[in-house]
Amino acid sequence: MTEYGRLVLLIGDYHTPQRKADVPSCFKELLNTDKIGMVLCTGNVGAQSVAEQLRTIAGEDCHIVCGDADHDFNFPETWVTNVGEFKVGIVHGHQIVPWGDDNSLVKFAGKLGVDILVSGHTHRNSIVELGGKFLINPGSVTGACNAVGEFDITPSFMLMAVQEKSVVLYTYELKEGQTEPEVKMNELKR
Amino acid sequence: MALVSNSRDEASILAEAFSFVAEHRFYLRKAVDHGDFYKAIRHSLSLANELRSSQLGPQSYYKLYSMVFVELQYLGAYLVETERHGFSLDEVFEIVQYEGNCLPRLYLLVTVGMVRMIAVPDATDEILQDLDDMVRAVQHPVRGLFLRYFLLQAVKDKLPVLQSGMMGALKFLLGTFKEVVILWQHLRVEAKAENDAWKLDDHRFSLRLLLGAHLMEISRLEGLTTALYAEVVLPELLNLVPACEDAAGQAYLLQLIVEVFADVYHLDTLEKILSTCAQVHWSVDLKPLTQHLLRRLTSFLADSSRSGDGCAEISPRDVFGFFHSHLKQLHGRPRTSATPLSSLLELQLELCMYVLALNTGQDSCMELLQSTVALLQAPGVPSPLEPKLAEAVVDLMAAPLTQESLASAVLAMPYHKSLLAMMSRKMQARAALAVVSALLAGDVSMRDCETIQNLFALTDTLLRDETGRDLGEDLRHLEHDPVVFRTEQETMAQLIHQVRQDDPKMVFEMLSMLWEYFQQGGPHRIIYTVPAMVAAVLQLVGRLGSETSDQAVEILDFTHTLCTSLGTLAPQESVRLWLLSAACADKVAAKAEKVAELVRRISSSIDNVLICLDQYIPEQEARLRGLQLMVGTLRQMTVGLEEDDLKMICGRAVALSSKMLSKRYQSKAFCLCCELYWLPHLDFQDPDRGLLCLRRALQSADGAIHSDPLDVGLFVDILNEVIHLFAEGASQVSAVLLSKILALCVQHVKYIGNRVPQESMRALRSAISSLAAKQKESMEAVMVGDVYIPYLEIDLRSAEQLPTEPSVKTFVT
Repeated sequence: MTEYGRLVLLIGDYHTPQRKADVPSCFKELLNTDKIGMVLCTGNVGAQSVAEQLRTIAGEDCHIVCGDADHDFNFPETWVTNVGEFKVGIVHGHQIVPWGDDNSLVKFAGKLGVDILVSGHTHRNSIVELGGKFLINPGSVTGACNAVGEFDITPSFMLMAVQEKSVVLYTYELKEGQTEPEVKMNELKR
Repeated sequence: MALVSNSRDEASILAEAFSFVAEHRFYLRKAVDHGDFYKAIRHSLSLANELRSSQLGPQSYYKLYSMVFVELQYLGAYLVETERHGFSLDEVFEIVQYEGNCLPRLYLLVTVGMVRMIAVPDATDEILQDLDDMVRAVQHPVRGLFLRYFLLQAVKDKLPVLQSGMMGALKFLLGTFKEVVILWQHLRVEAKAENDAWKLDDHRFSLRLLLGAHLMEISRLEGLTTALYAEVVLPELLNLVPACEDAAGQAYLLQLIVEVFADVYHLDTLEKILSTCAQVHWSVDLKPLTQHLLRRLTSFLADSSRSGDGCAEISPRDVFGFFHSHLKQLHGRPRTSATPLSSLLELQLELCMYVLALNTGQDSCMELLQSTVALLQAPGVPSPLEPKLAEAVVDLMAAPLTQESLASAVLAMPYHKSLLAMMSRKMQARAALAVVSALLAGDVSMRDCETIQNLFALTDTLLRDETGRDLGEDLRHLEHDPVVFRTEQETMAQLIHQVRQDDPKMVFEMLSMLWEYFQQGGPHRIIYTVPAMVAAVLQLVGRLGSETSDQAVEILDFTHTLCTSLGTLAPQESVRLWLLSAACADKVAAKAEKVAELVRRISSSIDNVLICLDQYIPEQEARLRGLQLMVGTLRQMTVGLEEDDLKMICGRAVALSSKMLSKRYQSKAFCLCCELYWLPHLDFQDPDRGLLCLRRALQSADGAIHSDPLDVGLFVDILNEVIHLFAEGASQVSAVLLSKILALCVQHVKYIGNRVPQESMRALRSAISSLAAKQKESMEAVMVGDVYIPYLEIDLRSAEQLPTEPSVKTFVT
């Protein structure tokens, strides 16, 4: 436990090498840290090496769920875990049609019985509070195009700092033409 | 045995000498306490007399020297107090001058001299001259070296007060250094074995630091300028190099010069020092020295260019020139075990790193590669290169490709090709991978077809199986090692995303060219490259303007070719790629003129998806995932399909669902298909068939719970689907229907009682609570006069029959 609480990495939708060559180098530098205690990955890791690399970040506490392109892996469809006093569920999101629909996601969070639902697939990062649930999408860490054919994706991932009753989310985005990421902070309170 | 007895002898001699020194030390202190001047001098002489020993090795001698040194310092402190002993310093000098043996006398004279310098600073020059002349008398190497060292320690802090100034000090130091080098050289023992010729013998090695101490004083002289260093100091020092008769001594001297003096001095005199280096006997390995100097200058120049105060006298490009010609000179020397080819290649790489760190330009990089090729093409180089050498060459090939400014120019030259030709196929594959990885590591863009051609000429081993030649056993292993193969092909796939250009036409041309290459690789390769190709090609669609439908069609046809080539190789991947092309076609259709052309492409893509699902994906789970993706994609479209096409697709999707073997998957699939009948962006919806599909989903769910009651969650899934359709205002999805399905869910849940899976229960509860929330909202809307109240018609009473929710939330810890 650090004084900032335990850092949880929310990341996913790599699609390397299918849709993007690699994670932006500035992200790689940021992720090269020993401060991350848990990894929650929304899937679509692309290559075996990505999954292996994710496991080196936080060791055992690395949970990857099955994306639509992860048929070569043996990831579970969903994963539920406790972070601080929050119950966090994770799902890739292609299973929930229509994609990225907040009402459907809230119901899915209810189904899993979680306070926070982390999902991906749309490749657009977002934080929504709806129906007593927090819906979090860390976006695509490589900025890969999404399933609906949008290519203007901003690479992003999130770090979640958890203290007992509050969660602070740091969204790292690499805007077009920039070399350094922008950081946004959101605090979630029950 | 002889060695052991020798060392015991030495130890006992040293012990004896120690006890002798300790004894005189006692008497010296006693004499000083009693003010007995003559006794003090005599005992000091006796102390110093021990240093006459010629039986001690350098290390023992050093221990003894340290002991004597301390005592002489003590004596010095006594002599300063002239009132205490009653003699003037001149008198002391006179007295000591006629005492005993030469060596102890000289030690004492130096001590007295040191004291006189303190007392009469004006006479420092003269005294120093005298002492310098006197110590010359000792020519025994070990004794002489230590006496010189003693002199240096005695006078070094007096050098700044010399009347002859800095030049005087410099002259003294250079003179004494020369003497020291000559004495040190006399220590040399002939190397026994030929191979050891380039190593320092033990004696010289253990006393090498005494040399360094002298040189350090020169480098510390206040007022030493680069000009003075270049014109006076360095020439003097370099003159000493040939004085060392053997190669090892010469090399050490050079090493010392490089280490002791600052980088800025070396920059100014680089040519001189390098050419002297090159003259050192060929049996000496110059790699450490050259590498050390090069690394130091690299970081020095990089730092100074970063901080903005670049060295005006010499440009980084010139430094490169000096080093490069130095290396070329080394290449010409006879090859021995001391200068193996691998050392030379390492130096080439070191210089390459310099080029990259200081951006000395394309020319220098090319020159370097050229000289590497020449080095390896010289007679006597094994062919193919041994793995270790090839490894070094691979590093050298990869390094310059990490820089955008160099990559395409380097690839345009023939050097990499020549280097590659010298390797075995196994190493060629390694080199190819390293080259591509370097481009990726540097995020280097590929901007023209020529670069791609040049690059792919190097990576042939990765692109094609070897044909025509019988494979050796180890090669076959490599070609079929799945992990290596996978890594290689994934790296190639990454490369596709490095094709970047402002002009979409050129990108298209480049990608077409890439495909020409990849196609030759066979099915086991293209399963890695096609997905990346499709994504890269489709990216172009998004970049087109509205008036470019023809181009969009051309691009989509290309992806069609790509997807078709994947055929049955990776059906699940194919599904995703067809869907991605359909989605992209829809995106461009939304803003294009020739919509019909594009819609036809969408339809044919979806058609292919269904073929894949039907014929090549027999696993139910994968098939369901495919359906999810297809429905999800169609759902998000803005233009979509023609009515007839959609009807056909719906029909086939439903047929596909009914073909699922288990009722469970059937139900899920039907439930998904319902979406297709109420696609929101189309004005042709088919509620009748939609309801039929819904009914089939319910029927299948019913069938499923007959074999496994725990599948009750299927009903909740259907309920959620209906809630969703209801929320969208889908026609014929009425509140009555919704209420009925809700009641059905509750009924089933009640029926199986405690065995209801937690997840299904939670899903049902959250569906109900969301409906309740909507009703509440609608109620409030009615209060403020809104008349639209569909939610209020939903009958939620059935929900009351559910078992009460556990009130305390329990967390798993």
